[in-house]
Amino acid sequence: MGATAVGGTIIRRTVIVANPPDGLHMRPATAFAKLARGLRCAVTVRNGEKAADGRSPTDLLMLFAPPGTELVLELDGEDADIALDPLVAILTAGEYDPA
Amino acid sequence: MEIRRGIAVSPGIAIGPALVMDTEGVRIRTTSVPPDQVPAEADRLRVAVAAARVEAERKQRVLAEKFGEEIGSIFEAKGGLYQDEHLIAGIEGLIRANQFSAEYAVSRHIRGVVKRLDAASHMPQAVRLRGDFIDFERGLLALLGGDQRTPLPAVAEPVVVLANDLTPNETAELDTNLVHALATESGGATSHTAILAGALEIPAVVGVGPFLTDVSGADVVIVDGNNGYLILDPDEPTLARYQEARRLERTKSGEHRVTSRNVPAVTRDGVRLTMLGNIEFPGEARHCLDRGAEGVGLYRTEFLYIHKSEDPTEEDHFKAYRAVLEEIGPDKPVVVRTLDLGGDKFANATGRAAQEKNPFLGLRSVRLCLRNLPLFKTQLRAILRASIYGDLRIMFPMIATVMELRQCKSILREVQEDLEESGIPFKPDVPVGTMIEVPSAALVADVLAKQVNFFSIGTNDLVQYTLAADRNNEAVADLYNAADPAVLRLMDLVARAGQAAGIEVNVCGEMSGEPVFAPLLVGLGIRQFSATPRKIPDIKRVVSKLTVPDCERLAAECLRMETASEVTRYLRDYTRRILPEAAD
Repeated sequence: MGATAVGGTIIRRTVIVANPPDGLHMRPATAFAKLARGLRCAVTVRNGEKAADGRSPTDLLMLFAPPGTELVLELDGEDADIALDPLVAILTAGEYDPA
Repeated sequence: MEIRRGIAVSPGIAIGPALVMDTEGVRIRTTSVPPDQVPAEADRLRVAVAAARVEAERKQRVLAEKFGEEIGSIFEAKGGLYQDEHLIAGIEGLIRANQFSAEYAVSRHIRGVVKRLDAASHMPQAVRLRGDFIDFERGLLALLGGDQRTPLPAVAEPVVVLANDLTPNETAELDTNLVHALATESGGATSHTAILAGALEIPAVVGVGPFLTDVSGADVVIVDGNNGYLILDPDEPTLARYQEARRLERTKSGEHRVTSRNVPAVTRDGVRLTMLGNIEFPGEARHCLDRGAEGVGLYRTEFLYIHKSEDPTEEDHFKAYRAVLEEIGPDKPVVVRTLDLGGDKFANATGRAAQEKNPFLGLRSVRLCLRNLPLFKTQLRAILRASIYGDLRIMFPMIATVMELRQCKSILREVQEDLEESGIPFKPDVPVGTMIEVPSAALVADVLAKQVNFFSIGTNDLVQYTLAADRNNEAVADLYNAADPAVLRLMDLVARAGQAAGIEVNVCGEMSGEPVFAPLLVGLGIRQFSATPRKIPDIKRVVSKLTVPDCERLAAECLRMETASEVTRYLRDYTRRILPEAAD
């Protein structure tokens, strides 16, 4: 897991996607978006140049993130600190073996 | 705006709202709603989404109970899109911002997503997702339309039909007045779509390659059948240019029709040829007369059978034939071809054997009729009954052996006897002919000629069977060539057998509608052409430049050639010399 940078209420965290076998596919995307919708903070997920609104499964799916992809999670809002771990847990669920 | 290039198979320009055919046959009726209906339209979307979500959850539960959570979760995943508030809000936004109908908004939004996915098609996830989104779109469109899925025939306003490929049964009941043009992703110059467009005299472009994901139902599209373009989402200047071109074209074709209509087809040295029209639907009889055809040389009767839940009754047949005879008039021939179903055409419960492995070499056409006598006799009775309304002639398709022809004729005699016994009027001397479209029939044409009053060479099937190449299969389409010397030799054999027996030999395939082939056909001794009505004025013009001795020399030359491309080049050069504008 990358470093956690705190600036104001924005939290950034680099995450390596697991979710075998397809990576960030429909199931984790739906679960992630469901959780994000319950939060007060804005959730943005970046894959290089592409950014997705964490509350939209479609947006997340469009990041095309197979296992091993480095995503940057960006939470902006008052409950960002408590939201981070559960969101990361969804993206890193399952064993990812880079070999 | 996007311009796509395809194969131009039927000339003309059409501009209109798209009717996108997919396998589900869902169509979008209207693109927009009045401003005061926008909230109701958004509600309609929400209700459909909720219903789709419930349905997806139900499926998931059922599957999970039956097969365990693992399988059930596949549906949970699919259902996920219905819970995607952002996705739904995006669609709703289109309704509110543009007053789109709910269906159109769904289609537009998803087409946009699919396009992005196609751009990433090197990623396996993108390919899978594409399927999920297409499912999502279809599911919602189906719910929004209730059960009113509109198959092609029920079109209610003029449209441009876009499809991957049109199947014969989709097109058979098409309301031809409402379809302005056709464009398909696949198909070649001799595909069913091409033939249909030719028959309907509407512009068509085929073989465009994938474009259906870039267009939503009811989008405005342009089909340029002169140059083979399909234009999606045209910009204003393009639209204006094409509107002007279409206007000019209409004026011109009107003039052309009038000038060539009453001019007979006579060669420069005074030999009179007969020009007949090919038709599929009774309404096309009018086209024949408009284009100066001297009758109908091929009346395909398959439309009576296709897309019906039951076989046509004798009355159905009779009415159709009588309508054509009355339109054409008492003194002009109308050649009715008996049922020619099978192969790529769909037969309903007419005693067709189970799925055949090789339908083009299977139980089709006259073979099917000889196995299903009630079906065959029903048609023959109706044809004979209609014979009193004009100069009707009967033609049997796909005859491969002398035996088959004898059987057909003996069944015809039985039907005549039945009618006689019942005191039902018919013409006793209705001419009987056979198609020559199987190489075996061409080879024994001298024997067949003694049994019939006329031959008609069906070049489409003759080429396909001679070269063993399916004309709809792009992989072997280059083999399919009417100019192949093997085909020409068979035609020569048939023409000479006809002359020796003193019977008329007609050519009714696509070949007879191609101006470049006219000198060759005349040289082979063909004096009767039957073509798509639209082609007749062009053929007449070429014919007026020919002399029979020149054509005979040309035909002899072609028969000595070794390859199709040699023949094609030679014919094109010749036509270019005598009538430059007809050569291409």
